[in-house]
Amino acid sequence: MLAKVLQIPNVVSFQVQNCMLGQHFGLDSVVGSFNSHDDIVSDYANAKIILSMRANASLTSASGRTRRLTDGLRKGARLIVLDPRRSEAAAKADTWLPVKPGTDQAVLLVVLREIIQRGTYDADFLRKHTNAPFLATSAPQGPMVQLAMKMDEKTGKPAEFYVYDEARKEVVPLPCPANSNLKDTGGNAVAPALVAPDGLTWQGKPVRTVFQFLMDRVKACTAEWAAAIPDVPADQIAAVARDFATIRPAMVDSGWYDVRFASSIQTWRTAALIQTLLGGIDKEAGWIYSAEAREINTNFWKAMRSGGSVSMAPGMYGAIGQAALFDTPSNWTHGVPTVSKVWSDSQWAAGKDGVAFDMASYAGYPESMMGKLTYQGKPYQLKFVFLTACNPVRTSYSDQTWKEALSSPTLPLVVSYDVEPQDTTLYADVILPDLSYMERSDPLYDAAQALDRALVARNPVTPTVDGRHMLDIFFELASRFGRYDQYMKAMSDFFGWDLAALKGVVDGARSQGRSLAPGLREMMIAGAARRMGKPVEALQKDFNEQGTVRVSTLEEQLKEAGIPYMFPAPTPSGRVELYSLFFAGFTKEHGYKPNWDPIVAYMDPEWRPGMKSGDPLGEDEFYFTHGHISTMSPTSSADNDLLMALTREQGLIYTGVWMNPRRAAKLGIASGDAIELENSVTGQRAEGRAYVTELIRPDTVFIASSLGHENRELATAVGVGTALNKLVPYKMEPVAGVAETGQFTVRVRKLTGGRV
Amino acid sequence: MARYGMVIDLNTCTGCRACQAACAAENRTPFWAGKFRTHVEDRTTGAFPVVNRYFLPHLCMHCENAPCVSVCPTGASHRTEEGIVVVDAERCMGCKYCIVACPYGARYVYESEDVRRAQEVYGEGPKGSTADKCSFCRQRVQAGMEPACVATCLAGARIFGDLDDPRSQVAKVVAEGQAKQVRADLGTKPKVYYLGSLPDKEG
Repeated sequence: MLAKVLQIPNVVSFQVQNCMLGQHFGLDSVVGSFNSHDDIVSDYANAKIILSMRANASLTSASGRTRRLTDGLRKGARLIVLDPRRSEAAAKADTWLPVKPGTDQAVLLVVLREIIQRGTYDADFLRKHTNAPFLATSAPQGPMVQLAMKMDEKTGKPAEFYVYDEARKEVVPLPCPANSNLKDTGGNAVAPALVAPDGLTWQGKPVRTVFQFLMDRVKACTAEWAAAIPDVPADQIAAVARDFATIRPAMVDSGWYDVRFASSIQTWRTAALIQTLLGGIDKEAGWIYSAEAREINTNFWKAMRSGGSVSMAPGMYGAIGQAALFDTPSNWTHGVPTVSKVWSDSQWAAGKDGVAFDMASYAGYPESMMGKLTYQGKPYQLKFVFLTACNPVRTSYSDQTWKEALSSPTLPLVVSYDVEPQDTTLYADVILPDLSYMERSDPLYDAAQALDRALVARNPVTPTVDGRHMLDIFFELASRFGRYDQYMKAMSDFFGWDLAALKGVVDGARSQGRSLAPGLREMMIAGAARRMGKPVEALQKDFNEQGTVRVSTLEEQLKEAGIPYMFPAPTPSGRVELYSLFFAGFTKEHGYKPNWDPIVAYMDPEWRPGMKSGDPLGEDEFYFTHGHISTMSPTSSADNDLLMALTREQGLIYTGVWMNPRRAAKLGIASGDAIELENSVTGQRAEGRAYVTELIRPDTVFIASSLGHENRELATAVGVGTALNKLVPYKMEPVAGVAETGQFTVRVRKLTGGRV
Repeated sequence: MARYGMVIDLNTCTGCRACQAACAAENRTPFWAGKFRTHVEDRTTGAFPVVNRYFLPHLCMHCENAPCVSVCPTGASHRTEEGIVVVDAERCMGCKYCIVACPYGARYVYESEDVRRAQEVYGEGPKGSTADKCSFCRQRVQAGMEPACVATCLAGARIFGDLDDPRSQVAKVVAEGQAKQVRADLGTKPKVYYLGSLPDKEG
């Protein structure tokens, strides 16, 4: 909001890149969510069989998820984990498939096929609430499938879809958006067919249902087909697929931050397709929309139905709106869109891959900082970078790229506002101390990862540093830019706060040199008390004593606002989309790519350019994977003495480069040896200490992803572990513009001469 | 008088070490030296691809027949009326007999550097070299709370309570007969029990 008011079209969230876009986006394309963790909450506790991949630390060291998973295990749930190493989650698994890095999708496609072949999908759910019965047609050339639909000429959005009505034996139009397929545009009852009769045509073209196209896509995906890709025995894959297709309720873990390949988004889309076929959307033992996301969704559709308007749009609706805001030159008084859009367009124009959904992508920023980006023939030169709660030099792509960009003479001012000296702080001209979450008097916020709706207002401890709350800094910036009143109004409009009350709080605090945060918190608690019909004092007491207050139970939410049962999903069609209209739009704009196939496309992980699944590795060459460890967050825990003591206590298990003894012996490497890893594609290098263990595939190495700090002010963290982004290139996948953090192989050699 | 005990479910411990962090913060222990009252062993057996990984939480077993108490020359190590084995730092002379005697490796000693650092980090701590170990967070238990490791465990893998109270969950689990003591053959009568065998479900 501050950026909008200050007319700054460049806002990047590095954690958005790592988590929401890199991992969630595939799920989003099906269920429509788009939010922070966890827009979709996996109800492990009630599932009988759980399939998980690339989400080790979330299952074993993120509080809510770990408790739900272990509750499920206590109740006898069967856990299947796909991971190249016996991770913590894999250690708890009934079945561990040690797949090659990046090949999970092949196994998922076998599972998907098995569910279809056995007919164990939830046909009722698919017919009613998904676009599985929607009619579609093949493109004249290529694999693209086009949905049969009528567009609204005014808005350019879909107005009608078509299904085959089994009762009337004819093609009928369905409204858009809507949450149900059981009534046509005229209000007549419809019995949508999942399988269209042979020879059916629409506007003279042969049509079949989306479900039939999906069946075609996975027809050849047998366990035998898949086995060579992840390199696990076909009978093990077949057994997993059989169990998953027959045990109910079954659930695919919705995942989080993962190792990324160009195929990641299609991989997570495949996971979401399985979950949809199971009918496991917004119900017990399935994927449940978070309380916060649900409230935004409910308010939005209520407003749509009554012809009103709301400030917050749900899920992908909101994301599309944000993207349009940042991408459209006319939305800005200076007429210049966001850096990532300009960079992306220049890529497309040069015949290279840009980014289809460039909102909040970190693509193009180094070029802009270094004076290498132009817009309409003029330099697009960033002059001021304000960094908070992010550490691109350590947690983003190629550290060398960021170091060069942030120290470029063309970039006059870098401000770092953080709780501790990060590696990025070394490149700041001005350093502002932030308060840690325990020291901040934060406003009221949602307990995003809870199934019940809960509000959190933690009581802060006395700050240990002379820091400032972010809101104080933002209002100060707005003031210095001469946009104080506009910022106040924008905050009031967006959050629905009374303008006079907000102004009273902010002006009052600022005039007395106090932080505005406590007053804002009091105002929000008063608002919550009004909505909940509770005396303010009583609610305040609850927050003081418990820190959190439950507003409603999951059961109540599902009864009143189940998605897509009571209200549409936040997708373009309102249904859960086996055919992504969003992805189809990318094809319209940039041509077909399997990366944004609107149904599903298998993508072989191309570790090296041109490398296929069965191609041999060099003698010193390995596939590469990484992941979080339980003791370190990506950003703000590096120099916590206690957490670092726990990290050191685990020794090489946490801080080393995992290698299997069979390969290590051939290279003369033993545990503790100093080694060098070299990205075989780009030549980037990183150093570390070997951890030789049977827990990993012989063809793969693993490192923890939140270590390798270089700032000597991080007294306990500096020099511990290997820095991931010394190996990760500045190379984006083309759907959401996320760095490919696993799509390469590494060459490993023993170091001599006391290095590391 | 209650007779406190604990059950740890090996099937659900995920090896996250939150128990260690909570214990260190609650009891102000010398974590900087890698000394923890409870820790989680990360053990591997087998060879790829038939390889297993286990997480084994360790802590004082609060033995009813505690060798550490028997060998303590000053009476610093003793059992409280609730059966909790504790160390009275004022009476401990740091002889380390208890460390040798404990078959579970559950104790450590504050070396002089740890004594110095404790003052620096916490502003308090033992005055001299002294043995230290898990106390079942007696200070919390007396205040009606669970030990810090139990309250913190993300997985809910630790259960604590009165072994003599048939209504307590811990007593019920022990009564079912599935929970096992470690090295019961030593006759130490540990009051910490483990659910789940070492080999995992796939053997």
